[in-house]
Amino acid sequence: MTTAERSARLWLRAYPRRWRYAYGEDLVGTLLDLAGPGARTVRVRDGVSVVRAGWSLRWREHPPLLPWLGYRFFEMRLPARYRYWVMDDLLDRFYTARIAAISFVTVAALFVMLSAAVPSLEPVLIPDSWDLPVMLGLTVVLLAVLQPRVAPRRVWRRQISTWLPRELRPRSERWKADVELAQYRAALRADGEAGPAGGGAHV
Amino acid sequence: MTSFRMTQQAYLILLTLVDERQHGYGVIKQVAELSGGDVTLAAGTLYGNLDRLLAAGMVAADGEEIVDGRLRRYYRATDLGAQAAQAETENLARLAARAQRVLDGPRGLSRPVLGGA
Repeated sequence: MTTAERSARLWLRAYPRRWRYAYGEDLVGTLLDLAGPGARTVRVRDGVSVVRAGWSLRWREHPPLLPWLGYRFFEMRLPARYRYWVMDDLLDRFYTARIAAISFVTVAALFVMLSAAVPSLEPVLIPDSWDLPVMLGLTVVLLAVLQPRVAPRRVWRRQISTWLPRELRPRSERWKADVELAQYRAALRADGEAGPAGGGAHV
Repeated sequence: MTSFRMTQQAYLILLTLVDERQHGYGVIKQVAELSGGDVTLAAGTLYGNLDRLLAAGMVAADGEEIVDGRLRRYYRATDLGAQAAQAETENLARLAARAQRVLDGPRGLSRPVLGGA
């Protein structure tokens, strides 16, 4: 990979994973064409425009606040048009970190609201030196309820498909996903060659 | 389907794709040519607009090729896209005609002040 291509792929990370999968190679090619032969990096103007377009796509595809909260904390189903957003969300490698951060913010917000609603509690909740450990403790409790390591598997099964992609399987079972996928593709190919009436093993 | 906002950029991109299929770099070059050099699309601006046009069904992907080891995907305007480009062109023509009437009026600059009939 040339340095220019590395630079193009770095800018491309602004786009969601699924978009990169579908259009990424095409955009990388265009960025390199625009940079010209022998260029070491992508033109900054193009890079910045890619970041803007990538994030505005993420923003457009993001579910509205209330459905998003329902999905995040109660695993409520999102409308079908957010299906791809859900897939990206579940496959993101920062999924666990994101759940942890959101849990902590929720706990902190509850502390602030509680101390505002009950002023007598304020000295206990906010300025004390032990409030941070308490907040962290409550975050851990919340995380134990939300189960960010198991949750993506469950949500995927419920909202997307009963077939789990490799990334969401327990480490010891990932090879199974590869085998199943290979069998499925072989069956599709056999179907294609033999025509619709040809049968072939369905997985 | 939400209504499509026809920006100048989307309009120009659509125009380049009506007659023949183009890849991303080709569209950028054609848009520059079509706009007389006024509009030079940045890559992200192009793909942002292509996303919207694809979602609105005005543009479709039309094959891929590997050139110099790079993947090139081609795009073309659909019938819906060609109709939208036609409608926008008529809008712009009507606007230009109205604008000209305003400029031809008493305070207009397009005629010499003492030159009126």
